[in-house]
Formats: sequence, C-alpha cells, structure tokens
Amino acid sequence: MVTEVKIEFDTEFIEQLDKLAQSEFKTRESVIKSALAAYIERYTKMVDIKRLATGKFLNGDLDFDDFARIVGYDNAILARDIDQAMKESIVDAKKDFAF
Amino acid sequence: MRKKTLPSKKLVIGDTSALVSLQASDMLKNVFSIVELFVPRDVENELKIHARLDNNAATVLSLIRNGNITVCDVQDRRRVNELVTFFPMVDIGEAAAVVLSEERKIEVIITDDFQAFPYLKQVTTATVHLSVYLIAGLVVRRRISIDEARTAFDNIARKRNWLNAEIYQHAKRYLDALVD
Repeated sequence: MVTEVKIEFDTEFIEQLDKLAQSEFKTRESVIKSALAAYIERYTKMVDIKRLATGKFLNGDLDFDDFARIVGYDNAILARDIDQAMKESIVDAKKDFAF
Repeated sequence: MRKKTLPSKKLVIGDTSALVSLQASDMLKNVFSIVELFVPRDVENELKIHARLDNNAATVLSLIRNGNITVCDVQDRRRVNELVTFFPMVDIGEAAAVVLSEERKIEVIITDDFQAFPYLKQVTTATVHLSVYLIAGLVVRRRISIDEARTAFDNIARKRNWLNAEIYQHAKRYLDALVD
C-alpha cells in the first residue's frame, strides 16, 4: 500500500536537493526517500543502544557517568530517580495496604 | 468473638498521567476496590482534551461520569497559578492536585509524570507516589496476582517512550518484595 504525503520545502532547499539528485543520477523523490530511511534506521539503532544502556545501568552493570554519556545527563538522572521512586512506591504499598 | 472489620479505603488524588496509565494497564476499575479516587476539575478538563486522541483518557472520563472518580473544585486558584508559574514542569492539573490535597487533607497524590514528579515532592507535604503504588496495593490486597501486576507494567511500558518503558521493565522485579 502506498500513501501520498504532501510536504512543502524552501525553494533554496529544493535547489540543493535537485543538485544532489542530479549528481547521483537520482530523482528528487528517491533522494528524499533514502534520506528518510537512513534517518529512521539511525534513530532506531540509537534507541536500541540507549535501551540496552538503561537496562545495564538499572541492573548495576554500568556506572552513572558512562550511562549519562550514552543517554544524556537529564535522561540518566530521570532513570536513576524514577527507578528509586518505583521501588519506594511498591515498598510503601506493601505497608499501606497490609490487612 | 470480635468481628474482623474490612480495611477502610484510602483517599487518593490522581493526576491525568496516573489515571491514563492505570486505564492503559487495565487496572483502573480494580483500583476502586481499594481506594477512593479524587481529581481536581483541572484534571477532568485535561482528560477532555486528551480524550479526542486517546481512548484511555475517554474511558477515564466515562468512569468520572459514572461516579467512580470524584471531581472536586479547588478553591485557592491563586496558589495553583503560583505553582504553575514557579515550577514550569508542573502543569495545571498537577498543581491543582497539590492544592486539593491541602484543602481536603488527602495524603496521597499519584502521578506518572516523571518530569514533574521531583517538583511535586518539593511543593507538597502529601506523599507523592507513582501509579505502580496502586497496582502494588492491588497485589497486597489480593485483588490481582503478581503476574497480573507484571502484565499491567508491560501494558503501561508499551505506551511510554524508550526510557520510561525500560524503567517499567526493570521495576517489575520490585514486585517480588510483595511476596516476602
């Protein structure tokens, strides 16, 4: 199945795109398609690496500094703090909802 | 012989994120058997916006309409606006939940907004928990099994981004503490 998507670009961008397409003997459409496919592939790979790093950090197999380098400092802080909050919420539930 | 009394229901305030998560995990209806859930009017308004695109939010709204969740108007609007102004990560529904907890003396607020969570803890004397608190509570009260709780975590994880999903996956192991 094919879905048509209409996108508007700046004229200057289109000129660059056409130049690139001509130099590679490709169509404008084919350059856009391969650029998007490469972006999605790279994004997916990065997410896979970050997920793996998060799992390793939470399991104690990766230290905080290395983890922060891979996922970014804000994400690393969030993972560390929310994991702790998850633990506390579950431990408190055991106490608060005991018969 | 003294009659054993049933434990009373805890009063809990929920924000939009927590209610939508609980509905996504298919646990929201079960939660009504262990707690009385309250939301500020602002959360109901947020749910109406989310409901246009999100079936879980729409279901939460129908549970509000059926009286399973009580909607309350927050009196001190100035304090709500102050919280939103000084803490940009805290949205209006969360700020209203904080003020409602003070006005109604409700001691537990639940949120699944991971960005707002540390700020909410700073601005309230109520205990702030993640929605897993109520899922774990269901296990403790024997309304669901640990395996059902794990599935609930999986269901929430599927709705979250890669980082949050990984945190939920890891948190499943904390449920084992409930069977000690």
